[in-house]
Amino acid sequence: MKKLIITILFVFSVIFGQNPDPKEILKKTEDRFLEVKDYSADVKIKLDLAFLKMSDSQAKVYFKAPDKFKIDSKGFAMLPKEGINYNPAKFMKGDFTAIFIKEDKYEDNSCYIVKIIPNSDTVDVVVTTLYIDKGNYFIRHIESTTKQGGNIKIFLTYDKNRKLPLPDKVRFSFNIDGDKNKKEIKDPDKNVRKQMNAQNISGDVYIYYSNYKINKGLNDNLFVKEKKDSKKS
Amino acid sequence: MIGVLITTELTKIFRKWRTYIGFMVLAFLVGVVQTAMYFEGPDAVNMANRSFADSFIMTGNLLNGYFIGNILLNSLIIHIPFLIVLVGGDLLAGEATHGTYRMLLTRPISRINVLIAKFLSSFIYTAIFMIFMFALSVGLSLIIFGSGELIVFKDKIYIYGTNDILWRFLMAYGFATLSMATIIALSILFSSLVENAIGPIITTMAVLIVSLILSNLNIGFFEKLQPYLFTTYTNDWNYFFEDPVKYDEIVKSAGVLLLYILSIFGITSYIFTKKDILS
Repeated sequence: MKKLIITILFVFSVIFGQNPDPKEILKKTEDRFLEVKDYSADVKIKLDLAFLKMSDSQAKVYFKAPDKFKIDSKGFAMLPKEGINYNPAKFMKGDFTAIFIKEDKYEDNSCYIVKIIPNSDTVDVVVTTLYIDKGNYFIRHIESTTKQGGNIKIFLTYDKNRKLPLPDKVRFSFNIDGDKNKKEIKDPDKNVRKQMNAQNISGDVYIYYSNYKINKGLNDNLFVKEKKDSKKS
Repeated sequence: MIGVLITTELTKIFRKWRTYIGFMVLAFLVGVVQTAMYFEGPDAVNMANRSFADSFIMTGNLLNGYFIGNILLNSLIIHIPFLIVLVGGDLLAGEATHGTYRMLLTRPISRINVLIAKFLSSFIYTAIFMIFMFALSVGLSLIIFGSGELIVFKDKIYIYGTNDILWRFLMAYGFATLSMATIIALSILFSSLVENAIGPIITTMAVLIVSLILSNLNIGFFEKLQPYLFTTYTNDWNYFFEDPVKYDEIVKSAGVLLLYILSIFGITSYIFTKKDILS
């Protein structure tokens, strides 16, 4: 199935002539991310999930290249793992095929649409589609399909004056097929277990970033402490 | 006059050692659960949020006093009636057992006033018991485990902010006190029928067990019966841990329980005023 998709997309791209090199686009996108050595920001998190109800929470997030991440909050806060790191490098781990699809408008921004298909069967993601801004190589939209039939969409909105690829608002939308994702979870409440197994797990998470402090030289110790904290919670 | 009678009744209640059985059992159970949660709590919380822990990064303390308080309320509230009927069942029958009925009723006070004082003092005892339970299960748990958001598992998972929890507990405990008042009133009714406290205690427990079973059987015939059973409503304090809170259901349930208490008082007062005092 995967080979068939790759073949069709490859033939499609050859027929319609010379297209931009997708790996070149991804490289330029990644280079933009490499400009961010570290950052901290305040975040407001709004959850709109079918299986969970929680009031909006506030937190502070810290990032240090290449992949250190920490979330700090006075109270309880949760962030989708897939919704905090948009560096294309994470989609390009291991052997993969990148295919340029087309150029198109996305929310009034001219974008390259690039598909990334991992060649390894061990990767959970089947295909990822990136909408990359032609002007500044910011990622505007990500769509991923997982082997379990899950569908993850990330919508990124940037301040017009933003010079680095750090979003001001992120909408993380997901829909995981309950039937395909069946697994026995011994929750204290049978109703929740029933819902987790039988129904699609879907919802939206909105993350609003503010008060960015970029490339200020965050100390590594900040992230070491986070590991201890995360074990506690 | 009623005030003096209530004070006298409360003095009698709290001078009996059996009154403290409930308090001691409750303190023991809460202590056992708190100790277990102190060592096993993280596993319980991890198990609880396992369903979404794979997909989310989480920070904060979900194993806190409120979480323990909610677990204790859910697990102990079913057994609290068995502890409070130890007092309720003794209120009238105890007078007969000790031969103090005649002495009490030959005083210039009406039987109705005596009964009102007994009912009200039993409700005060119930309220004190529930306050004790709240102080131990929520207050002490907050001291041991600290504060934080409350995670509740129902038809969905609810996570309440720290400023949105205490009122839910207070309202839930208020409603639970009303539920317990209904049960202690029932035990006073049975207590008015006999001259030994053991009978009313066992009868109330039996009625409670049968009623609880019938309230939870999802069979057509019993479902028609369930709206008339008080045990169908006694656990509706749970609605305070849902969002939005089903106030219409709560008001309806509280109304039914109040009606039960008034009916029980009516029947008891009829029996008590007609009762031939022989001891």
